[in-house]
Amino acid sequence: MIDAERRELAQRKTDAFRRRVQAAAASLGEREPGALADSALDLASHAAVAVALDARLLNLIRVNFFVYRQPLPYWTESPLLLSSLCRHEGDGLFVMDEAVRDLLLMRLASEHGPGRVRQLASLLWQYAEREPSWADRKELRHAQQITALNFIDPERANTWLQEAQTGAGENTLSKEWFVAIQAGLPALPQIANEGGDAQTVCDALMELGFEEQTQALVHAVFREPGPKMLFIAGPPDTARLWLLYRLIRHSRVDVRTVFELPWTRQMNVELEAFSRALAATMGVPLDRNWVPAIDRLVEVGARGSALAITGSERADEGRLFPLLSDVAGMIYGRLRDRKDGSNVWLFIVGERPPDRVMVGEGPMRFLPPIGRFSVADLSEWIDSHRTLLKVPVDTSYASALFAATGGAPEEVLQRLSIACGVRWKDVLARARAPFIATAARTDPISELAREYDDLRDRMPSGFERTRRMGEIVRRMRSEMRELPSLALAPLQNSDSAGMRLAAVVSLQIRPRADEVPWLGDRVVAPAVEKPFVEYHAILALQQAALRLRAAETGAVQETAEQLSEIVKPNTDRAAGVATTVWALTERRRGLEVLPALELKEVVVLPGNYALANLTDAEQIEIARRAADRGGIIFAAFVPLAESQPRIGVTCQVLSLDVLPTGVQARFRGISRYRVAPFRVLGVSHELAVAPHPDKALPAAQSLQKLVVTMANSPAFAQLLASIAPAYTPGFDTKFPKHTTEVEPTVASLCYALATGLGAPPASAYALLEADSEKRRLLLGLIQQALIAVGAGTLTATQRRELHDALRDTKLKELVSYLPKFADPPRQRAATPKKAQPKGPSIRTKLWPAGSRVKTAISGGTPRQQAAVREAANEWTKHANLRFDFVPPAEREQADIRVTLSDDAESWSYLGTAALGIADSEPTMTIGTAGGATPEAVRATALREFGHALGLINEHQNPNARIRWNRDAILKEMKDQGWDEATVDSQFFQRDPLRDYRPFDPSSIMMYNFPASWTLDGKDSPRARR
Amino acid sequence: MPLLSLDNVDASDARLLFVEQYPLGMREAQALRRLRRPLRAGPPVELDVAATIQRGVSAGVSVPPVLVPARRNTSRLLMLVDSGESMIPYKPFVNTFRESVLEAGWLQHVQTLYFDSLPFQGTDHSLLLESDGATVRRTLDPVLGQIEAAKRAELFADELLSEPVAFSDVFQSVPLETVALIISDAGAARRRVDAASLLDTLAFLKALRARVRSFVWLNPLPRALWAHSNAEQLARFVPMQPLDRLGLERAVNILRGQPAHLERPL
Repeated sequence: MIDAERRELAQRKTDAFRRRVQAAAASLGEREPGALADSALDLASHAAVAVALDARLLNLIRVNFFVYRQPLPYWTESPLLLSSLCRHEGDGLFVMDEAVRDLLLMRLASEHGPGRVRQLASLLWQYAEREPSWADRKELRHAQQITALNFIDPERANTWLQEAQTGAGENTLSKEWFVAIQAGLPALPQIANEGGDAQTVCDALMELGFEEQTQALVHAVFREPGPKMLFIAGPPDTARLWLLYRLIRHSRVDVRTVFELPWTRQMNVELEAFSRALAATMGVPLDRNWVPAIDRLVEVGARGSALAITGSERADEGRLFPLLSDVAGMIYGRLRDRKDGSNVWLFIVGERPPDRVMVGEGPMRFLPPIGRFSVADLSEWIDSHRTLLKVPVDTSYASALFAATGGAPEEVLQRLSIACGVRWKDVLARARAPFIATAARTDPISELAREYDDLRDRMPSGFERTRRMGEIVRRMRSEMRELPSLALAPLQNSDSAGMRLAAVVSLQIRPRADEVPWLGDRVVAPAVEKPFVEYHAILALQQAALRLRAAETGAVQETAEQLSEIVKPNTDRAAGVATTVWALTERRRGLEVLPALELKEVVVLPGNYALANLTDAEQIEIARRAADRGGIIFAAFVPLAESQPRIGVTCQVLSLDVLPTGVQARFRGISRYRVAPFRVLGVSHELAVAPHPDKALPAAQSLQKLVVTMANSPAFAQLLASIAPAYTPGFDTKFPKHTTEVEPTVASLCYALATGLGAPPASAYALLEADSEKRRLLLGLIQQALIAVGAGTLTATQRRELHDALRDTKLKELVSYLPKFADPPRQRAATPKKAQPKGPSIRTKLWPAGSRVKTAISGGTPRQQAAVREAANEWTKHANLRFDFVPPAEREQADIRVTLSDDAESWSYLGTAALGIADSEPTMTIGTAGGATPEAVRATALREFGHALGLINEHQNPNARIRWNRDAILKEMKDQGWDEATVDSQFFQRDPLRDYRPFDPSSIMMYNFPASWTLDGKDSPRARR
Repeated sequence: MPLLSLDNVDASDARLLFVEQYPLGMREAQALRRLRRPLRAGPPVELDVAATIQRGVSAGVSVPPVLVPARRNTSRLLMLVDSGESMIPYKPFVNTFRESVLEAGWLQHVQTLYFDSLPFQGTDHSLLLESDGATVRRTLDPVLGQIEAAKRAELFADELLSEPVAFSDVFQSVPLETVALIISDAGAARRRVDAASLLDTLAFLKALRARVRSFVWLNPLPRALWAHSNAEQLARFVPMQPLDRLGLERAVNILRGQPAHLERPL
């Protein structure tokens, strides 16, 4: 294999390694998989210093160099050792290929500089001295140490080698060793100590090569006026950018400013991402029409400007080129209007040239592909810049350099930089510096602030302006969440209203007690702020009311009371202040009345009080502890009735927002849960909830005690009596106020069920019958609690017990209500029976009426996916719910996760049981063996979505009365690999509790089966067809 | 040969750490203390105050104190460590963990045995032939009940796999209250999916299950990286946890008798 091929192979191996780490990082939910993969490649480049590597040395390299600036987790170590970059040589030692090592060492030197190389050499030396298992492996130890020495002081290493080889005596190393080492050492790149001047080196390197490209450029310049597009294509390395900077330095091109716009994958799917980046790059406010951005570009163009779109290899051509065509057309139009000789360049820098040419107006050129430097180029350059090189240079240097790099531009430039004692990335930065516009995105916050000010000046007030200003606030928030923390004072004291808005938004995200008075001043002091800023100041107050420690809320209370007297009534500000006051009141009440119930692995954060409970640091701590143990958190919410004032809704939403911030750090699932009517939201179930061995729970808090002794206890009767008025007829007028009283009951029920202490007394339910509306609401909550408890968290035995309890005790009465509750109202509407897909159902697994079920589909062809969507939507014509299809990126947030696969059987979890499945697992699989047609997929999907809605197989409908031939079925299914238990559960098991509608043999939920499977020789109707 | 040294060489003076860091250390290994099973055994050396008073009261005269044996921890742990090729990168980590368990676990007895990727080979692979070419899930699930427990195993007393230990020596002599930890990547490090080796592993685990009170598989790779490997499949049948702080806590819970949630328990 010739050198170039080996280098290419090495490059492919490192790319593969990087991709693998990136994929693993993505599946582990790392925030920036790409950056982590780059760091992992850096780890590999550090490891390349050693002649041979073992797991401990690699760990020490990580521990020493990858903790602070580029932190890497432990799991990144083994993929390196097991990747194709390393080869296991036995005894736990791994060795890198020469070409791979070369490539990685180049990366090390050019990214981290000679200083880091010396540190690593020092680490390697000391490790070789310390590692006990190397103590009696003289050759290995010496190989590591001579390598280390070679990095620090090559001359001395060479001298030692000479002396050791000629010296005789007992303590010598084998001849082979010297041969191997001397073959290995010269391959190491020559690394000069730091101390070169990047600017000088940059200027010097500009003179190297690229003649052809320059010719092509000059030719392009003189052909036609107007914007000029140039493609600089080649593999994505820094040489492309270098060429760009080099070309625009050319005296005849006369570009003074380059706006660089890196293409991101997001731009392939979202036009607005491009608009945003364009506006940000040009330092103008966001506008869908790009007009301000193009104006700016052309304006600067009077002094010579260029827009460089880099990374076009990431672009989807169908998106990039029409878009470029538009941009170029606009630029062309503007330039024509101006007629002042200004000029704009458009550069596209990336891996591959476009395969079709499309630009509407203006000429477009392809530069000749980047060629390799020749030995003649190199030796000429070296001769004239000998003084810059800090390593010993002899006559063979140019040819050695060519041999080592094959003349590939990036590698040559890297090596020459290192030989001149500078880092390549510094050189590149110098080349870039004179051109890049200052409007770079160094400070996104002040940019957004400027955008706000500009918008306020430019646009007349009205709905549209407020909408856009709201958009700015939203982006400020998302930027600030990324930033560690903001110095507030400069923002608060700024003359710019936008900057002050930024300070307010920052306080919305991170409330601070000492800043509450300042927030108050935004509203109190006359004519300081516009209503928009006032409103956001009040929102920040709300956050303070919800999230500060209870002891710190005094100032919030004071400010809010003060504000409630000043703000104009019937405005959003007034509503905001009222919510703040309400939240504070609830918080105080909540803490007095109902603490979170901590029950081993279950935490119940009850009810409307949850507003307070969810926000209190202590309660969140309880939840977090439970989450750490893999427990469940019930956040029980009062169903939001129509009559409930909006203010309560806002508060609930706010408090749900807060919970994730408290718990999310270690508990990722929780933010998925949202406020929805009739829902108790159960969370996470990686661990089992086991009954505590000791059933006598300590009597800790008053309510817990109540609940423990609740059956037949006078205390519980008292509790019920206290809430009874809430359920008397005529109570509706007081509904909002008393809604909260439902919660203790619900909490106790959840508790009782979760701990297996037995069923609550019947009196609780008798009470509920007083008012049908309340009963419905409450039953809804209980039902959902039962599902949450039953689906994900109980062991099989416990489920059975719960089931028995439901059947045998007073709870039976309760269960009998459930179907009435769960019936989607629309199901009763008279629709033509024939067309309607339907089936028998397990009612406790039905989705609540009106649900919007998030659904993600992956695998299969687009047509098959479309068929699945179609099938799902078929159901929504008849069931009172909706499927919201989410893109694959949000798959983990979806409730139903469908996978199409051609080596799987079709199956689905039943109804809401899907909520209890781990986020990464599919909840439905549709088999597409042998490239199933969309029709076949649709038929399968129709049935599986029936299951996903909670429908069971039609043949299991107790009213079906099919006279199965059990022996025949057993025999046949056994051939397909089913055991007896599976066959029983799939064919013969009945759920005696449910009252099903009559048997419908033509249901989509009916499988096809042959006549031989029944005793009376009847087959399924569809089998006949 | 001249001495190779760094004297008079301008080496880097950066301070370097020479202590490895792994996700689990001494502190985390303390989780295993929760496995303790205190039993009174041995010579009576501890005073039983209540019984002494009781006896004094009933006798009505001064009596010698009542002594009972001291409580001692009788927990026994069997560690089965994979020393195969794909585990080489994890060797220092696993060794550190093993040492931490020995020191910080406070267990009465810890025995460590090693195996090379698979502790047992030679199940009846004809079980798989029936559905050749299908997915592992489809191939394996139906025959799960038919896998016979292994009757021999290749276990070693040392990491280098040079001292074989007879299967009968280990398994017949294991006291019934022993719990077991298996430490292996289960094919996840190299992303191996292989129904035959899964079958062998399951056969071994069946034999193990018959001898120990409970066992947990600890995988040095994080859970998300088990996908598309034997580990993913195995985790459906037997309790498998990642070898990190939370995983160890959960493993101890399972060893203590908490039921594990499995898609298809073995």
